[in-house]
Amino acid sequence: MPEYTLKVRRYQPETGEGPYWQEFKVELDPDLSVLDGLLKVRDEQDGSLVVRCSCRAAICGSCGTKINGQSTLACKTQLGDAQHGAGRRAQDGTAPIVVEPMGNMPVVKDLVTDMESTHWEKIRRVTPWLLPEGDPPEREYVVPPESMIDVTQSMACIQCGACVSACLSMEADPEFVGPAALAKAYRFVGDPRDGQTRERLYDLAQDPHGIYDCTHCFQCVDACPKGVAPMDQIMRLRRKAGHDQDIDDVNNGRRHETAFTKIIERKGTLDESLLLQESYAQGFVGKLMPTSGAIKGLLGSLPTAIRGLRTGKMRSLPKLIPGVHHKLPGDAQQHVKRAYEHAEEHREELNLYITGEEEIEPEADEAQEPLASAVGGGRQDMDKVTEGGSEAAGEAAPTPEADVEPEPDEEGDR
Amino acid sequence: MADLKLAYWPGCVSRGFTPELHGSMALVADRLGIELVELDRANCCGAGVIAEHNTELADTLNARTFALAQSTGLAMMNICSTCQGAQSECQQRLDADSAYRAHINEALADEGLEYEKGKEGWTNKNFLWILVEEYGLDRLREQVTRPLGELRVGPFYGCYILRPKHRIGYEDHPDRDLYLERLIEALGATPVEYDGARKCCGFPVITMNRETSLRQRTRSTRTPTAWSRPARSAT
Repeated sequence: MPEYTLKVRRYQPETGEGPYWQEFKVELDPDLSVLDGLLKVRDEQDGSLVVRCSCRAAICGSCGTKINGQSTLACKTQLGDAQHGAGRRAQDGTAPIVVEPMGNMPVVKDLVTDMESTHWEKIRRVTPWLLPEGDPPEREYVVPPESMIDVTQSMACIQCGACVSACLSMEADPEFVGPAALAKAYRFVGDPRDGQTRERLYDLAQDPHGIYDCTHCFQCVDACPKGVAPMDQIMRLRRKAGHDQDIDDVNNGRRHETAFTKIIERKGTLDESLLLQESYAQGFVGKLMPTSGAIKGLLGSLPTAIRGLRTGKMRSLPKLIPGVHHKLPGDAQQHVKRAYEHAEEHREELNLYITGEEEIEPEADEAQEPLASAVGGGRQDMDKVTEGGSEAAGEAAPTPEADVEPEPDEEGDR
Repeated sequence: MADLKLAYWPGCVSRGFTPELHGSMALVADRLGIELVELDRANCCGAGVIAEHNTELADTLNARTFALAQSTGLAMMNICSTCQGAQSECQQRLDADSAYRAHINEALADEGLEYEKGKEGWTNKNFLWILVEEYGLDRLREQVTRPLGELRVGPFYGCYILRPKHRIGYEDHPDRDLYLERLIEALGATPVEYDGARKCCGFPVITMNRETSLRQRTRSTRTPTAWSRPARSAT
């Protein structure tokens, strides 16, 4: 069995000492989890090591930790994978697996964090229960299954806090409602039985640390062990608030979004000066009666623009004048408009968590894609699963390779 | 290996507030013999903002850009982290569902365009990925006439070419989050390890929550461990 080194960030407040690093060596099967490693350390080497865990099967959400800097569940991370990750970064296959308590939360002891202030309090902040309207029905609420499918992704949350630990907006703004709580908010906003949809959205749009405080960094999407993709839920909340409910938010987020979308419709590419102007002071009314926030925001951007010109980063003055930006050549702009009309008419929203990626394409399609063999699998990035099944891709991958490949894989298994 | 020829999407900011993006790439590509066919009819990727407004619209706009690239018969290259992320997100949805793809293609039919999944192994890659995966760092090393020697460089990736891993090709290319370090080394300089290298610049919320935004910027560039030690010696 291979030996792994776990480099654990320890903190034992009763000693009066600050946090420190300690390395432990464990011999375990690579398929076992980092949590198994930590428990073995606790059982056999140091009984004072504090770890929180329960189910060991990625269901209870107790063992959130950072492994090699990535927020995740210790029970869902295999030792072999963690070792590979540690070695890859350090360019040294024997580099220790680094285990830390979750971020954005106070540490109670060793790997145990206090999730109250940045997780549970924020979950309660979004009123995480159903608020139905009118008298309850005589028997149960009847809801068509298809109208609940939309919220199943946010329902998959196990409250482990990995997304909160990884959140870069919360790191900068501890008051941010945060990924877990906002995903939970969508669970009720999207529930057809709830009667307070508008109130919920209004509340989160008017909170300066609400839905428009998320910075699109995707950290929560990578951290979530259950595929909730909290950031995607936050974007759904923004669509529901801005488009469906026509709610203007205190952060100017909706104005920024509509300004951006309109500029591309008119120009095809982004007129950055116009975006800045329209984000703050939108349309005729916005310019006639700019809000104090708009004036402050625009004035605040001036030094950056002037510095850009002085240093030569801004190449030409006209780029600073909103509206002089060029359109796409020829009839291209009309075709962009056409794309807008089509998409605004349908507003289809494909959620791959629910629909999944298409399985191997049926036989009838094989004849349609003979071109795939021309270059083969060498440059394929996204299509591995589906292309592998088509006859064309099968031909492109020479059979000798297919025969040889599995063996080194098996031998490489530690 | 034959010289590379690619359909090139410059993006919006490289023609606006970030001209150095296009300028530096063009000098390098020319020197390395990478031939670029600029997609001058293509449109903005939406930067995640249009997707936030209407995901179908973002998918349609990017399908149009992909189709324009495919009509040149060439793989596509971008030079912007945000373009890569926003376009990969749309490409993932377009590739996942043939009915949805057909629906989106309806909007492009008037222009005689169609986005075809996996057409001749078609890909859309950032210039950094092209340099490492297609051109090759060994080949690049041979082209260095003045190694960067004493220079110590802190890489900054940007969120969109790092995350989410399942969407932007990390299954096939797991080391994409180390390419900048390798590139810096290949050019003879020393990469500096610092906590902010893979954090967020805060820009997406600059007009929404200036304080959060600027604090993120500060956290990603001025971390205490940042400039004190080299990550590893150049090999």
